[in-house]
Amino acid sequence: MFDLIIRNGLICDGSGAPAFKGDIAVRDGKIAAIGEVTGDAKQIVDAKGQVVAPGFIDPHTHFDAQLLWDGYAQPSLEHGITTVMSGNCSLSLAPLKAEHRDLLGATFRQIEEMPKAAFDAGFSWTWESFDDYVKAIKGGLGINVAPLVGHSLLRMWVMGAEESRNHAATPDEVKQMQALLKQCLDAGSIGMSGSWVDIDHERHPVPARLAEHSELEALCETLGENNAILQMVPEFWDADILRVRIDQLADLSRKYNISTTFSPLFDSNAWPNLVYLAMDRIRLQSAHGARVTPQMQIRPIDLSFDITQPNSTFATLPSWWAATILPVDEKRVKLKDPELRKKLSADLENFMQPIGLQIDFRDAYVKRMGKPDPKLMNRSMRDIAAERNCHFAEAIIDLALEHDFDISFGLDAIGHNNSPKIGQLMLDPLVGLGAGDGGAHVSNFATYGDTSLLFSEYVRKQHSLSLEYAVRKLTHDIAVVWNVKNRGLLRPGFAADVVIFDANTMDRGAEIPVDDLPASGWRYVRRNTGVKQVFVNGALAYDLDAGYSDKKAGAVTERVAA
Amino acid sequence: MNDALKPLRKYIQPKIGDNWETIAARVFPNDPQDKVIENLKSWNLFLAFRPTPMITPSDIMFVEPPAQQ
Repeated sequence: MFDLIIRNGLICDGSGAPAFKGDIAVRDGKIAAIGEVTGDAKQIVDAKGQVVAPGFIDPHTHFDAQLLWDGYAQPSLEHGITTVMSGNCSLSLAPLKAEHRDLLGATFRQIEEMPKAAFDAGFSWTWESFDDYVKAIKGGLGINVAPLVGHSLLRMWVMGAEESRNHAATPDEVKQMQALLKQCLDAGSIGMSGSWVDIDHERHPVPARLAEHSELEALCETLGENNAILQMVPEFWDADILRVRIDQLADLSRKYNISTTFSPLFDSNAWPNLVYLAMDRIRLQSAHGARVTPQMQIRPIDLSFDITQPNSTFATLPSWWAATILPVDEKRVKLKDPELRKKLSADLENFMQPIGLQIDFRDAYVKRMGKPDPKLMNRSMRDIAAERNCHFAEAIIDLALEHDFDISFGLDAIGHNNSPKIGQLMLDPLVGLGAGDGGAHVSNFATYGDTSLLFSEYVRKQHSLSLEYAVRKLTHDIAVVWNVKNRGLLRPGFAADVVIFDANTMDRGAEIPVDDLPASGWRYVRRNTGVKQVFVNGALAYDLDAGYSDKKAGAVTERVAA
Repeated sequence: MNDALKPLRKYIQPKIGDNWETIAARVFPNDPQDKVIENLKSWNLFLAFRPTPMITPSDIMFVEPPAQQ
């Protein structure tokens, strides 16, 4: 007697091999048989006409906080994702001493664009060690988690807050970081994350960026001894710097026998051949034994912004950044000051485009209003400014003032939006998929639905990938790069993480605001069409008709042994 | 090192506490500092114009111009 049999499905087993019609049997959370299965089960699912695939793996998320109030990482699970990697970009929530919570919290919220109220209401800091953080999330998981430990946190723990943000580590401190990293890996961390670019809420480099290369080398030595991965964020918009970073990762990979990954591999008309230059370098380094996997985002870049708080849209606009951080009463007054309005308007005319994006604020449109006004919704600043006979920057400012800042503006397809080109890149076995940022940038754009978009855009519309290869890119390939044990394939003995979906209708829904954050906060999400059921370790976690189950079958994943 | 894997463009990584002046003095000690700094900035526009001016030891600083396109 099996626990579950999924019958009559079109099985894409994650290997990329041709799909075949068959059954899958599950016992004790693991796949027990695959093919033509005889026998009975406590639960039988008829998957006729549906694809049956390994649960998808999302290698780039920031669900560290959300998992404490939502163990399903909604809505990722309903897009077929059964395993998420948290703790990317040098920022995890552990190990963290109590006295560093405010600083790390502010840094995390700034970089990942999350509201403080959600942090404050969504969880209590009950841990300091990585082990205790894992215990804090473990009981409530409906999705599997492969948590990274952030290099910035290792520095803060060993060196203290200020020292870690301003100084090089001593040899003794580096040794302490190595020991701490080992503790985290023993407690379930999949690897370590770092960043060469991120800045905190005070526009100060994150602690990881203060590390000399010898410190990174020492930590990679520890990663190598434990078959753990290194994830980094490079200067992805500049081909010359990016290729140096690829070389550095390749050297670390060869020297310490580690898998390395960086995110994102980003295409932009600002430097159209950048992706090809980067891939040429990766191809060369791979031919010489390095493991460097770029993560390419599936969706194009859409941004939203408002002027309630600093956000990435204003990263290269100091005057706008400064205006957004004013207390709201002061902001109401100052944004009416003619001199400031003149300065803000001039700055928006001509500014350094951030990170290879191509932004024209004239194209910004009214995307969300607390009280929707059909006369304004979806209209561009170009249009509204012409109607009002004002500068487009003043249109943004005045709309914000008129609606007491409860209004957001959208900028669509401002980078990484050449689908035929991106589809061709996806075919390259050296290109990984990821960089989706699930759980972050909550009021800036929806970081969900990329897995579904892969099928609607790149399998069905562009015909870039076969169904089988698309499944492989989201499952087995990621599991191998990340050393995830016994996941990513439908094989006897592997975890029964399974997604059942309709290949003809699989798609992401429209970006919509929902009020589901703690403390009545809102965020953008996308719902799914096409996913029928998702099983996590053999338990039904999501059903299209019944919604999310109350089973908490998620686990912290294991690494393949060194 | 295998010739094929040599860096495509010469660079250094700064030391903690470095600024344009200290780097210019260390990397091009025999050249006029103002001119060296001007060159370094023009070869490293991202470092020169990014919102956070602090130079960190993990940064990449090119010490020669970009290749002709």
